[in-house]
Amino acid sequence: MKITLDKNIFLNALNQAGGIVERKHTMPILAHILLQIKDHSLMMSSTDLDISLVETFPVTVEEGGKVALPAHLLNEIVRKLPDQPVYLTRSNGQVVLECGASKFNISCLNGDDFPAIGNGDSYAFKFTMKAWELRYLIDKTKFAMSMEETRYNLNGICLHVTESKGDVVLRAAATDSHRLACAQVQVPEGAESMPSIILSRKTVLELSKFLEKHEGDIQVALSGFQACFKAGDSFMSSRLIDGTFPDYERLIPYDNQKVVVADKKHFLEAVERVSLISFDKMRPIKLNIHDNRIDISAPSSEFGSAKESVDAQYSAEPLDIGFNGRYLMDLSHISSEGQVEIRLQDSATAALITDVGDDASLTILMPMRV
Amino acid sequence: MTIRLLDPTTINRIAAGEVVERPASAVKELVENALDAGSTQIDITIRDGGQSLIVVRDNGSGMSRDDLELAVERHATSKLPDDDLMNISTMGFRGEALPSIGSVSRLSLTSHDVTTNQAWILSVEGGQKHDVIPANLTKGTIVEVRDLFFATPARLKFLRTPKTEQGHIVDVVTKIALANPTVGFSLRDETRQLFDYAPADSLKDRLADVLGADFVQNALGIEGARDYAHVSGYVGLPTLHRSTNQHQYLFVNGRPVQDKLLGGAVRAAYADLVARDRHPMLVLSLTLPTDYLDVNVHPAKTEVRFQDTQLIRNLIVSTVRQHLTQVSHLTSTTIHQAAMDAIQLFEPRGEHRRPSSFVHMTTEHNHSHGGHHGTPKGFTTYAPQKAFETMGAHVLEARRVFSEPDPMDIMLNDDTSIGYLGRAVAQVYETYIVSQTETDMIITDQHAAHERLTYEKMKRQLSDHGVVKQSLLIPEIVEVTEPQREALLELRTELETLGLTIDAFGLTSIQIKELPSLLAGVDAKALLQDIADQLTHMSPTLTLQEKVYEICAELSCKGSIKAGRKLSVPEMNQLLRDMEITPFSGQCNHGRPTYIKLRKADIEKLFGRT
Repeated sequence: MKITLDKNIFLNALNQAGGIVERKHTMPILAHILLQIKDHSLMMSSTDLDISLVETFPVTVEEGGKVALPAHLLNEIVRKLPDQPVYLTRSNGQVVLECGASKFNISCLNGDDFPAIGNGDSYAFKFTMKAWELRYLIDKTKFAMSMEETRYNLNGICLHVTESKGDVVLRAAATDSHRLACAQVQVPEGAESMPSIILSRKTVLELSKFLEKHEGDIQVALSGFQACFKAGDSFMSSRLIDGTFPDYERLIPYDNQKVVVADKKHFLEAVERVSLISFDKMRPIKLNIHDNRIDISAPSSEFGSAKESVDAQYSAEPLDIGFNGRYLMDLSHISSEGQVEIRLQDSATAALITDVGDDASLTILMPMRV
Repeated sequence: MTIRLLDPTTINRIAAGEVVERPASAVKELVENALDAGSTQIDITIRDGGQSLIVVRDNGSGMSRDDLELAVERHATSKLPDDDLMNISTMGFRGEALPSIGSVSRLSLTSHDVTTNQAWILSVEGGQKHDVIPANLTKGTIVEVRDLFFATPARLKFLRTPKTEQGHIVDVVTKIALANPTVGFSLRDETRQLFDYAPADSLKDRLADVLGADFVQNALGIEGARDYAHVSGYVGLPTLHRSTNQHQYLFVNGRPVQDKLLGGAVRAAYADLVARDRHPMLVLSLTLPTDYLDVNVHPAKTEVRFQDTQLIRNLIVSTVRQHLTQVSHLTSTTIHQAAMDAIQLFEPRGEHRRPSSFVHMTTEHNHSHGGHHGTPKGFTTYAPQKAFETMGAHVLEARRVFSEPDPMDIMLNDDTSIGYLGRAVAQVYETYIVSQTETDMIITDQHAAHERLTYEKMKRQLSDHGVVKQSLLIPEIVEVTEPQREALLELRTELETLGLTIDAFGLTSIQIKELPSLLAGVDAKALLQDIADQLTHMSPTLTLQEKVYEICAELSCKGSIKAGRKLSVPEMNQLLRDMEITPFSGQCNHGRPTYIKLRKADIEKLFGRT
């Protein structure tokens, strides 16, 4: 193998591969990435056996071949290289990397030992959707994924097709059992009978990065256990979480009558300031909502107490409700501008939170008894 | 095969299997009989771990000729006057011990009858009773058991080595001796006296005999009562701990017991003071009216049942905890002693010669002064300075970090509020604070100490502000057994004050509706399951409390100053003052001591200044 690469394209690909390859391994090959020449392109594969990524990009090829190189070491080397072309040559069981005046001899493994990665062509269910739609679904929900390892079925985002106000939609939902976020887009053509799937946390985070790089169309292929997202010659495939996502639809309190609308930025900033005073890592805060105002306060702690008022539109009878301040602040992941609408019932039941003007996503937040 | 009634000897042998499990159980039965007879001195002799011979001699009330004959009959006892099993105040009552022992050994009973002033002897061999004949004895009873289990070879085969069996006997008699401090006990085997405890005036005196002076010095007497129950005894400081719970002696109405409930209560009382795998030393004696208690659970009577387990548990936990709070800033003197010993036992340059003792050294030193000049021989091998180096107190090091006293410090020094941890002098290795009082030099581990301070502060805040509860969007459903479900629902209010709101869900499930916000990210299902599993033997609410405190401990560990942080003298002084007023500051959250004390007098001794 003998090739010339652009340093920045190379580094970019290595960065994403670094997110997938685990640092510690019992199988050395899994700490490596596979470089493989196909026509005039380099296919760079990385895998942790659950998630696999293949990025393809053009390089200058003098001689083909394949080789496995240590992922993290390569990443660190390329990161420090000057902005000049990178030459890779295989010789005597090592790979020589040259760039400017630097030269590295890097030990490598045989590329044939690298696990085979399926590209999803054989999967039964296929459809195409826009990359921005998939990004929208992920970005509006990923903050609510559970971190609790024992509830593996909540450690990710559920994608499923459902009906909403007469339309068939593709919906994403995530919950950590304290809150729930969902977002939906028009169902892509051919996806109407898509089975419900759960993408793991790591998949979601890596897919999010993948989608930043690949705009345009994404071909989605699903089998019973795997999902594959393909953009041109590059693709990411992942094992699905084998579990059922809770039936959350009935939890959404569409009937909440008390509606408060406030400027999202002002409101969340006030929440952030007030919660600074609380010693609890959960940052409990209290909202006292009355006559076009929200009084935000934090219960007194050893450091003192805090209060702040923001303007709002509210005409129902006054209401006190407590929330985890962190969860409120997480609402900024959906959007940080515009107006936020909070629909409430009483201080003990779930609140329905949406951005005014965005009908396609919502958050449900359980109150905290402060 | 036809069904027939077993003959009495066989019945007795079967019963013996339960009552007399090993020589130690025979000893226990016999000693308890002696106690029930009102003896004040009980002497025990054993041979071959009790297998070939057990002799128990007492000075109790003795038996008449007729009683002797009856004593070896099954279910014959002098101890249940009204046949009232609800009201058992004697050690024995089942009337099984003597016939059982008699059926599996060569037993002889010699007893002096006070009323007729005559003594009689009765022997039983493998269940075969011989005639009662006159004997020579002026007081009490002597029970002699020879060749135990000769009639039941199967049991004989399962006996451990004489040494092991002897250990069990020592253990049994020790427990009884602790429960009855006013009675004298002695135990000897074929070669030597194993112990001889003179009748003591109080439990404390007996404790010194049995558990050693260390324990008495580092234990504190406790006493508490709730409704009808009363608890007293001695509990060790949290920093005095052992690897097994062997040194936890629990008595109920004078009866040594091994009880999960009591063990759990002890663990609860020492929660967050002693590491999980260490066990505090203590002697607890519980007294309660006999009708609130069932001792007739097991023939060996090591288990008891309480009518109101919650009350007993709360009594023990609160009494022990309350007393510990008062002294909890202290660390065990054994630790201070160990530190001193470490210096004294230092072996220079790997020579395997222990400096015998300092007294010896000083005499040699003095002697050499009288004799000849030059370095005394003993003195070169014994190098306390060297020992100090290995202790880590490099003089140079200390000087480097020593801060010049500043006005603030002087202000603090003049303060009369300086307590037993003294005035900070220096920090060594940026980890240990060295301070001094008039009589002691104290070394404090800054991280361990500060961790405890932060932790106690957090606990205080939790109890002041209440627990913040996070409602669950999707209630957790946990399957439990039906009794567990009932018990959990009964505890609903208690759990709710700790932040866990539960509700019935179907016939065999519980749903969790709210969790303490601190426990976000904790596996709620597993937590409730743990609580349910603890229902039977210890307070289940403790599981939850423990979990909350565990999180606090984790947070406080992160929120504390670390080893390696340089402290100024005022900072060090502040830490020491805070420790003096904070409960449980004598040990960190993991049960390690936070400070050790070296007495000035001991240090002077090291340098031969006394």
